[in-house]
Formats: sequence, C-alpha cells, structure tokens
Amino acid sequence: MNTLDTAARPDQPSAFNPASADDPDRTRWIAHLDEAVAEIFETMLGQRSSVVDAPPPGAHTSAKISAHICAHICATIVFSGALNGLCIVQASPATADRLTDALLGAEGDWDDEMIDDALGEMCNMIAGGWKSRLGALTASCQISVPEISRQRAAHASGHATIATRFYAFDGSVLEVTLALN
Amino acid sequence: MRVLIVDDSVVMRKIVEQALRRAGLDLGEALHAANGVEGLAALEKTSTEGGLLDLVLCDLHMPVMDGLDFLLEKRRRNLAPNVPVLMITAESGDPELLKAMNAGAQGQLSKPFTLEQMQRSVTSVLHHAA
Repeated sequence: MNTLDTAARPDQPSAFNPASADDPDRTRWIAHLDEAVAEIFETMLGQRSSVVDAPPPGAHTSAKISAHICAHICATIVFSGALNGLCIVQASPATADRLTDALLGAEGDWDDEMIDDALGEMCNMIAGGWKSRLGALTASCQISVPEISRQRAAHASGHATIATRFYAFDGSVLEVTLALN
Repeated sequence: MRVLIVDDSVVMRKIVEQALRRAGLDLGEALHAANGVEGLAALEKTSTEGGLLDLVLCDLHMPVMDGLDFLLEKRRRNLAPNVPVLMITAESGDPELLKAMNAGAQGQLSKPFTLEQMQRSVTSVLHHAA
C-alpha cells in the first residue's frame, strides 16, 4: 500500500485538483514520478531503485524505513505557473552521502556542502523529469532552483500532497513528495 | 578540447567533466563557473589571455545569472563569438530552452543523460560550429 495523502480542494480548478486517490491525473502523475526517479537512478547513478511501500501508522517497520524517518536533509523545488506546488526530496545524511558517492562514481569524504548539493541536484532532476512528462502543462509551468534544509519537512504547507513515495536503492531509502494546489 | 562548464551545482559540474572524459571526447582542460556572471568572467579571461575555449556547457537555471541571460550578455559583449554553447537542463520541454536557442545556444542536453547522449550532443554542436 502506498501513501497517498489527500486533502480535497473542491474550490480548485478540476483539471489540477488532486481530489481523490482514484483521480486519473493523480495516478498518471505518480507513474510519471516513478518513471522519472527510475530513469535518474539508472542513468546517472548506475543502479536500480524500487518503490517501497510506506508502513501503516504504528506498524513495526524495517530498520531501513525507521532510520529514514529520522531523515533531516530536505531539498525543495517550487512549481509555479499552471501548476503551483512543491517537489520535496528527503534523505538521511547517510543516504545523501551514498547518493553523492553514486553521482560522482566514487566513495568520498564529502563535506555537508557537497552532500546538500547532490541532494539538491537529485531534486532538480526529479522535478524536471516529472514536469517533462506532463505534456502541454510543461510550457506554462516553471521550476525554481532547489533550496536545501537540514530539517525534516513536516508537511507541504498550503498544498495538497499528491503522493509521498519511498525509493529504495543500495540499502538506503529516498523519500519524494509531490504537493500541488 | 578545452571547455567551460557553467552550473551552480558543484556536483553537476564534476559529473559533466567526468562524462566528457569518459565519453572519449579528448578533454584537456575544464574550467568551472558557478553562474552566468562567473561564466562571462571566464570567457573574458580566456579571450584576453589566450587559450581559447572549444565549447561552453551551460545550465539553464542558475541563481545570480541564469543561462539565458549568460547567452544574451555573451552575445551583447561579443565574447568568444565562435565558441558554441550547449545548454544543459533538467527538463527537456523547458520553454526557456527555445529562448536559449534563439539567444545563440547551439544545442541542448537533458539531465539525466547517458555517456552516449553526451557524446552525440557535444559532437553535433562542435560539428556545426566548425
């Protein structure tokens, strides 16, 4: 079971209304997100990723997911224009370090600036890759440069979350949230 | 081949440089710039000090000065007019790309990219610039 947090916004234009779990737009957008992430992992990191089901609240979790919940590096990109919202990529420091190793093709003793940069670049590619798959919407939507925070994003304030997805790779988990108006 | 890589991400600049080397593109020196302002300064320096560049690889979206403004200013100041620019973007359908091509970019490469895609894009841009 995947996490599909919803917040119905009946006052929003129906074309972009993340209304319900079975909304075909939502389903398609989540598929686009999964495709974008898989392509980035295979092309730039040279490894496979897999979607991991989020655990139900209160359930026992694997060590990987539990450790991930303490994630506190957060990269955020803002969508504006025809689509308003956020793409948020979160990872534990250890996961972000592994991502940096994979992007640069070598293990290294990376400083915080480099690790933050790597996560920001992942967010950039994920947001761009997802947006590229939207078709006609792409022309009327802009994306920002990524902002990095060393605090976990509690929620995407002011936006309805389309989905939060967990992607497992090389013993780590990357969390990606799409939140749109 | 001597290139200038303009991108606000240190990681991406390293990735691009590594990809150029691994794609067998006979890369000699790679200069780095973190935004359009630094990119223009690098172009000025190479123009005045010699050691001309063969190619600029430039990110589209950057703080301080983005790729489009870099291109417009490069053209306005007639900096390295014979050095082609390959735009690198995270979004293949970015409408800003069309503006960049109209502003003088000779090609584009979308992230994520394979070594083969890098090789094809660079070869194509250099071929058209020759």
